[in-house]
Amino acid sequence: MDDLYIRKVCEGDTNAFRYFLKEYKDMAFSIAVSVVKDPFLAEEVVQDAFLKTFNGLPAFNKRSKFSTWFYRIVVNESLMRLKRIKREIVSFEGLPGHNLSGEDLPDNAGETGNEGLLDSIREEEQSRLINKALERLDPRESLALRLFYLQEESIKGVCELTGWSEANTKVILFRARRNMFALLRTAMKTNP
Amino acid sequence: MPDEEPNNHKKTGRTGDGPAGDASEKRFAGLMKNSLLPMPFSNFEDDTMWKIEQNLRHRKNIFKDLKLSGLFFGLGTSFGLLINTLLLRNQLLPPGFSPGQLVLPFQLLFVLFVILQLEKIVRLAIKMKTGSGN
Repeated sequence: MDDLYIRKVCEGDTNAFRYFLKEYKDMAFSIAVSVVKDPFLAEEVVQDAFLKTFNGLPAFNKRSKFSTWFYRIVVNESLMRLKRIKREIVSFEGLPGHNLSGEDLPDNAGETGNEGLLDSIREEEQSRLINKALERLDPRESLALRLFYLQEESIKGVCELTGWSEANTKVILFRARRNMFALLRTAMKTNP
Repeated sequence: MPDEEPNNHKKTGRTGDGPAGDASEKRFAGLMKNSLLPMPFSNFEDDTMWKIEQNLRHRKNIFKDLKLSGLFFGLGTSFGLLINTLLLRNQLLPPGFSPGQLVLPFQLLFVLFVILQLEKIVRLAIKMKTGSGN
């Protein structure tokens, strides 16, 4: 389907690009907001990414999937924006009472009691809690989690999209998962 | 980036192995499926399409400018070469001037203009290629 619309856009049918907007805007927004942590900035990032994609479409070589190519643009735009604004995103690692850096947690910190914790979260609460926790997570960690679990990318896929090394990606994912559980546990305590 | 995590964790990025770890991983993966954030701005598609059309129009204008620049650059260069040749043949020399007095400054000026204009055209071409609005 993507190929058909790529051809249409390349033949001059600008309106055919709406297909890509409809199809990819939500995932692109999720990726961007993971990094920049602000919905308005994320909207700008996604718009810029779509613009770059539109301009680069004639040069798209189809060696990779369109989605991989596009999400790589979104990730790069998000990281570039994060650098540019130099905004201090308060990482939860630095917050008092949330000292969850990898060194301070036991190896099974993320595992113990996870089953009970996960089961106790009601369906309707899941989305809200997960997204709140992701919002507080370090940009790289929330990005890795969304790409790995939501976009169902492999470790290699995450590396391809982010430019991180494989070892780095695994460490980020490991920490992200553990910190996520810790955040969910905290959230459950404050909102039983 | 500290690398103290146990080796089995590094292989998968997971926090636990074994049946309990697998179940937890599956449950977590299931939970993470709820982390998709829908675009909250209802006019996002229209805004983006408007931006794309503006950008297209802008690029078309740049292309037009680029064509005109090329044309006048070609005309100017040819005209400059012609004057240069005529000067060298003493056909255009005003009375009282020797070729050495006029030809060298003219040639220097000519080369300077060619380089400056060429640089501007190259910049315009790059701007068009990247689609930059600035």
